[in-house]
Amino acid sequence: MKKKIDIIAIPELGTSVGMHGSAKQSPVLNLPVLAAVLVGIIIGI
Amino acid sequence: MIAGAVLAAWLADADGQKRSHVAAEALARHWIRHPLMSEVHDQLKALPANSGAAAILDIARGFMDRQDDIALMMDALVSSAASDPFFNPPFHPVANDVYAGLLLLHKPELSILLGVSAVDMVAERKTETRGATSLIFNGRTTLFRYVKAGDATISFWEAPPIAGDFVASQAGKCRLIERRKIKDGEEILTDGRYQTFVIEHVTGDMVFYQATVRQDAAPLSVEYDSKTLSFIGASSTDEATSRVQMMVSMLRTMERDDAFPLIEEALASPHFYTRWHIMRELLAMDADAALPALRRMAANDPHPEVRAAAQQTLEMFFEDEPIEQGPVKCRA
Repeated sequence: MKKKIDIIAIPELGTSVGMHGSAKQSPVLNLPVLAAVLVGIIIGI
Repeated sequence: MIAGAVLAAWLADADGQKRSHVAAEALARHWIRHPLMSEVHDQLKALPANSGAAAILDIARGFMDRQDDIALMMDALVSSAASDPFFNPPFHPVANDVYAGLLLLHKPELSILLGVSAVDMVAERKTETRGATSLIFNGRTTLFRYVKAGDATISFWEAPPIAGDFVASQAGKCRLIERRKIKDGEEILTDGRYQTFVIEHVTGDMVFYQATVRQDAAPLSVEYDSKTLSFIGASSTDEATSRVQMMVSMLRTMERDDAFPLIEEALASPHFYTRWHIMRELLAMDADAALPALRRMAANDPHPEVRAAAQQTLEMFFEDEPIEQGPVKCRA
């Protein structure tokens, strides 16, 4: 039988890194971050 | 959105829909062959491997310098939209509550957006009641060229540089470098690994190009609270590895233990946060099979927090396990 560890019990890193495009708080008027989500877009030209 | 009788008539008119589609296709075909676009594609293709961000920015500047061609293209779009309200521009629209724009170019190395930030959009955002806000260092090199600067006042900020060995507890604080007005035609270049800026005040509409370069990007973007200037969070700049993380979690939740060897390959990720995410999933799937890689992580991972977490995990769950000698057994 395989030994499985409950994932909740496994330590996490002190530096928590969210998924791409996630942010904790809304940005101030800070346009660079708005461009950071411009990925994975297919355009016609 | 166009609604009501006009939309109903268009939806009932198959030929009309076809005309709208054909017009957009024709315009796309024309401009994709135009030197404005084709030369950028050729220049990007001709770049030597591992060309730095500066070489890609030179190509972006060359594109923005072709103002006459870009004006012609925009005229064609406006003309087509004026003659057919259902004309769909062959550029991806990008918009939020402070700007609207078209993505004129989107390549793996470089994206170029042409955008407008209307003064009333900015004013509304500035005056609305909000919770805590962040200064965000996006990890990428970004070049803005303000065709119209809207008499904007901008504040420039810096933070300790983001690198692959980033540790939240050592992120420090960001700091204000300067606050000044910008002029029409001015360029602002930010290395998002340690620089960002904020639009503090505008009195007119802003029209701008925004070139985003992914080369040499930091593995994560970082947020600092705009009041305390302290670090509050980080997120990945790599969409692909974020998808991998989500898929691996899904496979573990679906109890697809047969995917273990495939998932184990993802431990080679260059991003420390992805490596540990994958390891946690492997331990939850088959702890004994994950043990050799966990031991290697505890001893050799380049990131100090990954090494520490791996060592802590060994002590918590594998204290009595003998250390394997010799070559590691292949699972296949």
